[in-house]
Amino acid sequence: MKSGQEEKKKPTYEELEALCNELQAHVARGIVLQQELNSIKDELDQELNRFRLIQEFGELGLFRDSFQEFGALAAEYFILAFEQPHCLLAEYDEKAGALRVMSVFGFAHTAVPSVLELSPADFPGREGFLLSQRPQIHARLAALELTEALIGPLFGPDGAFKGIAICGQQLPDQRFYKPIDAQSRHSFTVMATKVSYLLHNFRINEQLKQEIEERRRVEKMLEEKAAALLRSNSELEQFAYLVSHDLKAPLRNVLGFAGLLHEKYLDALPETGREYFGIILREIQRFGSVIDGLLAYARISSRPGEGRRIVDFNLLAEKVQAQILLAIRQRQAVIRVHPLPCLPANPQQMEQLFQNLITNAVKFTPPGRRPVVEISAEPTAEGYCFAFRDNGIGIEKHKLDDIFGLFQRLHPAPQYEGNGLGLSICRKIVARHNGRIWAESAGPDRGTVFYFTIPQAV
Amino acid sequence: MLHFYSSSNGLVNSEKAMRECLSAALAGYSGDVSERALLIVIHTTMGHDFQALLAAARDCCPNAVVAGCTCAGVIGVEGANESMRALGVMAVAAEQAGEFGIAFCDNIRGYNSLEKARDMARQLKAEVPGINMIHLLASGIDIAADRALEGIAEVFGPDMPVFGGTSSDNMRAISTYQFVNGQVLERGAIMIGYADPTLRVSMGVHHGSIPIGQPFTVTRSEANRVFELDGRPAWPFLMEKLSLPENAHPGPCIPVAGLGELLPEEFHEAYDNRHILRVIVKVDELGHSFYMPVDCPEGSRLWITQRDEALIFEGLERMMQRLAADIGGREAVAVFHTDCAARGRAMFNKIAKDEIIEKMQAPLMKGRSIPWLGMYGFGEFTQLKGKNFFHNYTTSIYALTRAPG
Repeated sequence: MKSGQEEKKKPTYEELEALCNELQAHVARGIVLQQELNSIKDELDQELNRFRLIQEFGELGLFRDSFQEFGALAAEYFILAFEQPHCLLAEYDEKAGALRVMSVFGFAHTAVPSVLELSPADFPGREGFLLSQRPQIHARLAALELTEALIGPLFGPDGAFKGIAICGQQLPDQRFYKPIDAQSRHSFTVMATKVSYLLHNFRINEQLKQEIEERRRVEKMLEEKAAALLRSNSELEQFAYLVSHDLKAPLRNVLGFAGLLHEKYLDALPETGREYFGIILREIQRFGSVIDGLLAYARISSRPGEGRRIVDFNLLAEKVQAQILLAIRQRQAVIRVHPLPCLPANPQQMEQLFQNLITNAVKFTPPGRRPVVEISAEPTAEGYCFAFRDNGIGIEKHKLDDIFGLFQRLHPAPQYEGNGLGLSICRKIVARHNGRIWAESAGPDRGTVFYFTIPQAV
Repeated sequence: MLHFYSSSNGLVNSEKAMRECLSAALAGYSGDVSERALLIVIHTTMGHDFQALLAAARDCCPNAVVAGCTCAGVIGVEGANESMRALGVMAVAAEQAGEFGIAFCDNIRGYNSLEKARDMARQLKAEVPGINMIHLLASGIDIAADRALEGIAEVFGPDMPVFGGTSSDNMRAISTYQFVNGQVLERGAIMIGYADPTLRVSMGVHHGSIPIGQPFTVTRSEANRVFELDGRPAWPFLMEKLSLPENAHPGPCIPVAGLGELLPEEFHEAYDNRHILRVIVKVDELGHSFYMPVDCPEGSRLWITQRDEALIFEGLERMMQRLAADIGGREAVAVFHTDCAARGRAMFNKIAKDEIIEKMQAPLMKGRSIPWLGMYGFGEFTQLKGKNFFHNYTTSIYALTRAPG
């Protein structure tokens, strides 16, 4: 037999039905709550997926070969991440002050302008926003026919305005894409920042590439010009050599017959005739000297390094002094040679160089003054720098650069004889040794120092 | 003999997506892609440019037959992709003509589903003799799917295996689309008949929902349109029971507003459940009545149902065991797969979703890569104990198998 308490606990059918309905209502609410939870999870998944896509774009965007590829990739990743049908990226051309469209996606039936009627002033901040929040911008982008879009200004790491990214829809058609969620503007800003940094890097890389290409082009052009110049020089030298050589033969004949004339008929000439004849002879000799100078100039090898070996410049100085001993003695010149180095050089050309410089120093010392020439050399970054210091007539400062030109003579021939080629030959010899030559002088009558450098390595 | 090749991707450019998909799928195909005896089945999500997809398919395989539909997500060997621009293809190459055929119709609705399906079946049977399985892709909005199955049975008999699903959109329940060659249909149906005697299809189906509380009774209905539940306007009544606004659009309600209907007892064991589920994707303009995907006669009892996560995972394993037993010693050569759109990201996070797909793919693939084309649709055509059924909220897989050697 059941107790009264147990009987009290037994629910009626109606009570059971009510309980069942209550349970059903609870469960239904639970189902809806569960669904809301799932929606939140889906949103989180979506946000995580966006950041994964942004990261993936960051990696892929680094390795695009062309600007077009980079733009297309960026647009595709905006479409992937924000699931909208239309995307446009525009880059700010600072020079032109124009916002140029660099990439579009999904505007197949729209005439997209190549330049947007917007300026950096329209984008005071980095934050992304909805197109509908800025009616002025919406109006200026009317050609795109967008009803809603996310817009992200692009600012580079230097804080400069780089452009804008737009991702949105022309028709709010939920069949094909989701409505734009205002919350998405935060991740849109992140994506826009990623794009702007990569764009900045891309442009810098592109600029570097262009500079390298330009440098290569200039180098190539210079190489070609140098080769052409070398060819031209070589041809000129050959020409000069041939001309000088061919002039020597008739000159020898003229000189020979002039000698015969001098021996046999000089006495028959009147005083004025003898004077004229003397002038003719001197000029013929001077002409011969000029031709010799030209020959010497042309003979200097155009190929650097040719015929080089280690030259002991101390011995070389002694040898040259012996060669011009007569001139030294005539002027009672003093040649002081300080310790000189041993360097790789063409010995014949160095001999010529020393001879020209010492002869010049002695020659251009005023009559009545004993020429004193000091020769020394010091190591420098360019190699050894030789100095030939004299106490001669000196040179005016503004003429210091002219003296190395062909046939340049600072003084009239009768006063200081010469063919005007000596220093040109010196310059060519030094240049063939990859060195440089120059002169310094405190002014007229205050002596001159000729410097030249010879590198230590060939 | 038919041969299968599949691929899927998430590229956003529609033309490029199709080209790369077909290129990847057909990489192992040694025949000429311009041959006529090639069928391309497409599943795409809603963001793609459909015309661009079809044009690219036509360009890649000029003489191929193209069929397909939209969905809420694509499932391939590569995994599931529910982005707005996901694409999957299964290329089916026949060794000779007549190994597959296709029929299609437009404007299929609840009231004409039987006739439309019967006409297509007749056309298909006349065109391709020897069909031994039918792949059906139909509009997912207001078709009476059970009536369509009856139409097919009238022509091919009740034992003809029918598999496939109804198309879906991005869970908005507004419009879904079907593709046949160059055409895009909005309320169409496509029937593909495979005539390969070496092939057999083994099917697995499962949902993980349980009925809650007392059932409602359909007190007024007409074919698949339900006017009243328990004597009250059907849609507001259901919304009230679910604590949702009575003017809610059915799309967002899909994940929670599934209704259960009692199955005949003989199918309980095979289904691993006593109730078959029904989805509501269309409500009348006044928001009073709703459309079921099958006929719903007056007196039918409908239950609110609730997802049971443990049942979903455990049931899935049991389904795969049953499927493996059915396949026996045969080799799976391709898998078609229809999953309910509500079983995608609307219900599961990515990890759970990937786990569900892995639980289906791993036992069938056994370390190999089998061509696989799946979609998240609105409904699934799957046999139970040899009888064709239309389901909702299930995962349904169709393994095409061949005797070894």
